[in-house]
Formats: sequence, structure tokens, C-alpha cells
Amino acid sequence: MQIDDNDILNLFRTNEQKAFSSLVIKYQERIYWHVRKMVVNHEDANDITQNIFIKVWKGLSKFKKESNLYTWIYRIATNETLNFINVNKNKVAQSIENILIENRKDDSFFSGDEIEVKLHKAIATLPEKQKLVFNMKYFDDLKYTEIVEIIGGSIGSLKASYHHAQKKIETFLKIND
Amino acid sequence: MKNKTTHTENEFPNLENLKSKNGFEIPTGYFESLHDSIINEVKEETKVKKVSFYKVFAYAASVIILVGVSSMLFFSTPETSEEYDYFYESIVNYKEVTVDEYTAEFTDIDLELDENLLFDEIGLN
Repeated sequence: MQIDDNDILNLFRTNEQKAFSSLVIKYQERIYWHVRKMVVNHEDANDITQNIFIKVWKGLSKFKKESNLYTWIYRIATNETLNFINVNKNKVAQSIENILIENRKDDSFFSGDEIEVKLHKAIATLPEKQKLVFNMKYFDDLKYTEIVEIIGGSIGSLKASYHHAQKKIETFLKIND
Repeated sequence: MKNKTTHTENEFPNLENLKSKNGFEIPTGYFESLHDSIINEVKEETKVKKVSFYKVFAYAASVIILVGVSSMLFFSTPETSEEYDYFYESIVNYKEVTVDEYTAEFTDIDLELDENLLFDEIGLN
């Protein structure tokens, strides 16, 4: 059973490291996948995820309970990932290409079948914001109100972004069928 | 009335079929090692932070001690030896000296000066 966010924050007052360990266990997979879907390469996703949790650790003592712990961590993760992509645009684009090509020869990066590879290829063609909204909605099943807390904007614009992303991906999958 | 899920399923059937799938490969036991790496890194960060704090504290303490000792040496009144006795007695004696005694001392000093100086030197001749 997963520990409740309030229990993590209460525990943090008496035992910082134990509370943080519980937080990492609870969120590491979700955060890793959030990052991995954006940067694709495992090594990059691993480095970014570690940096995200170091930032969470440094900021946790100042975290105010008015906001949601989950969306706060997700916001740090999103900022960290977008910063990485901005600084390493070419590297990320190359990673996407390489891994998709490598997958055809060897399964060390992708466990999925052809249609899943196509899905990720389709996602890779989306603009960053649409990609973020799509991943958070499609894979993580976040509510629009939560996505607004993480990346800002309005619910209406997020809904539009998600719809456009779905449309593009569906078209891509049909064309490449 | 159509609900949202039905609408999405009809509009994007391929996406709906793929929803539960992830597709990316990760090394075996990755998340166990990720947790340990993060915790170790945090411990290192805490250690570095503590070391820095002690270093800063040690430097600050040294400076305070140095400034304190220097100030004490610079501003302190003499506390021992003849210097102190002279300092103390001069204050006490000053209170006890009457005007007559004071002027008498003054005259004596003048006389001493007179004896040591030539008239030419003081321009009285």
C-alpha cells in the first residue's frame, strides 16, 4: 500500500530521510516515465530523474501544503525535462531517431511491437507542448485541472491541444499502417 | 447521449487500443537501483552541506576570536605591573592634591626649568 502524501510531509518533520525515501518509492516510476516519454533515451531519462529528485529533496522543507505534492513534483519534473530538451535539442532529436531505428534490429531499448514503435514515432512528431499534454493525459491519466497546475494555461486550451495531438497521432498510425 | 469515452474510442480507435501499453524497455531491477542512487546522492549532498557549514562556522569562529583578542589587547587598560600602579595612583592622588600643592609643584617645575636654561635661550635678556 502506498503512503499518503500528507503522511510523507508529516514524517518529513521528524525523519527527513525516511520521508524522502517513501516519496521516491511512491513517485520514481511515474516521474521516470514522464521524462522518458519526452527524451526517449534511458540514460538521459535516468540522469534527469535523479536531478529532479535532488531538487525535490532541496525544496521539500519549503513546500507549502496549499499545493498538491504530486503536481508540485510533476512541475519540477516538467521544468527539468524541458530545460534539458532546450539545451540538448539535437541530442534529443537524434535519440528519438536512433532508438526507433535500433529497435528494428535489436530489442534492447524497445520492448514494444511495431504498432507501439509507431505510436512513439507519432508522439515524437508533436510540438513539445502538445507532447506534454498528450503524455500527461493519455498515459498518466491526469485531470485537466492538474495539468493546468503543472504547465499553466487554461483548461480550454489544454483540451484543444490534447484533441489536436490525438488527431495527429491517429492519422499517423493510419497512414503508416 | 454519448459519453466522452465512447466518443474518443470511436474517433481514435488505434490510440484507444494502445492505451495500456508503454513500449519502452528499461534495465532489469532499474527502479530498485534508481531509488538507491537517489538516496545515496541525497546523503552525499547532506554531507557536503554539513561539511560546508562546519567550515564556514570554523572560519567565522576564528575571525571572531582573532578580532576579540586583538581588541582586548588594543583597548584594555593596564592591569598588572608598575604601569597599572602608576595609572591607578595618579587618579587617586589627583583627587587628593589641593590647589596650593598643585601650584607648588608647578613652581618647583618652573624653578627646575630655570636652573636648566640660559637666559639667552629663553629670550629674556
